[in-house]
Amino acid sequence: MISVADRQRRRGVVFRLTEPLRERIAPVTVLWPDGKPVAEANVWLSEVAKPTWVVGGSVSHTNAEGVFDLVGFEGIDYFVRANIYVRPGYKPHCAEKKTITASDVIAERIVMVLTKTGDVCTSMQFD
Amino acid sequence: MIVTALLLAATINTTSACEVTRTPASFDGKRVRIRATVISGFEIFGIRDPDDAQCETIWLTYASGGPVASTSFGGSAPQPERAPVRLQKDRAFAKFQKLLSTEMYPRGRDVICMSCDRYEVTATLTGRLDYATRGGFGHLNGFKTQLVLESVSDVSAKDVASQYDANDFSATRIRFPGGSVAGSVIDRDGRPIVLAPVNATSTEDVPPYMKDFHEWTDEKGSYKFADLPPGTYRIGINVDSPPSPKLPYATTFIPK
Repeated sequence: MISVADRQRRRGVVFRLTEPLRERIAPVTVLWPDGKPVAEANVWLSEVAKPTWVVGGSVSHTNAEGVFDLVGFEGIDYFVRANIYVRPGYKPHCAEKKTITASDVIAERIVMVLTKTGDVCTSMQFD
Repeated sequence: MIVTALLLAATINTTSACEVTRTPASFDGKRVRIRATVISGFEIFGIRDPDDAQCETIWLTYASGGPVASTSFGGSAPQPERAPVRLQKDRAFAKFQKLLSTEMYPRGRDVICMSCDRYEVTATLTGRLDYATRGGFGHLNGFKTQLVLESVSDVSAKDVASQYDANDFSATRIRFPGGSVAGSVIDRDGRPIVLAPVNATSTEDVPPYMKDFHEWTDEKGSYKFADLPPGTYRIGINVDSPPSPKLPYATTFIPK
């Protein structure tokens, strides 16, 4: 613990971070139910242990082929999520979340199909 | 024709806030001079007629102006492109600003005030009046008129300190017991890590407002908790956020 007294000034509390976590790529493809790619879909990773923690602090967006390579880290279980709001009216569509555990080997792209729509898709923590 | 337009632009219409808000279209784009009282608070920074509080409020705007507590969301009103108004930053304006930014001081760390103005400020304000035929100005575009300030004069102030609960607020600054903790976040090669989130979490049984403190490292990787209540703390990085490509480290505490 670091104790602080009235009017005390503590200096030199240094974090020397020696071992960065090793990145783990989670390649994602987002598709409509008819198999067409979804451009500009929101995709993100969140930790299974703390689902409100979105890695990087914000969502990423797929390209015209519906593709984005999410970056997580070894040793952490993640949820993969995808959604999009379609204009006009910004109707939400989303995919079933997928789980990648720390021990999973990600050999192929993770395909997220936007099969769900409506209120179930409006929460960042939708299932 | 051009001369006439210039003369009209130079003419100052001495009027009142009530008159302006009753017939805003007739003042649109014109220079006006108004004796008005400033209304400053959470989501509002405007002026009203000092003699008639029932009239509508005019949003007040000027470059780098307005108390911090006045927050505006939403876009600006649609209006024709108008030349910027040059603000006269003279002694009267300095007094105006100083009075507006003077606040009451909380007596406890748990006392929160969104806007605790010490003074009710009244002044003669000169500027250009804008009228929004659709939409509006200021917070959530909720004001049909705005005054783009050019100058102030005859500044006066009413001390409203007595209107605050004396148990919670003081007119003089109150120092709370506290100390500071400073340091840095560096990688294994000694390079600074910029914008790393650093938390100081009390290890004691304290009220929620004294439990967690949050800072970010600066461009040199340095952080400082300038005012921590006396006690014991765990200092950590990535406590409230997951490892990310920008900061690929697990939650780390000092001491471990």
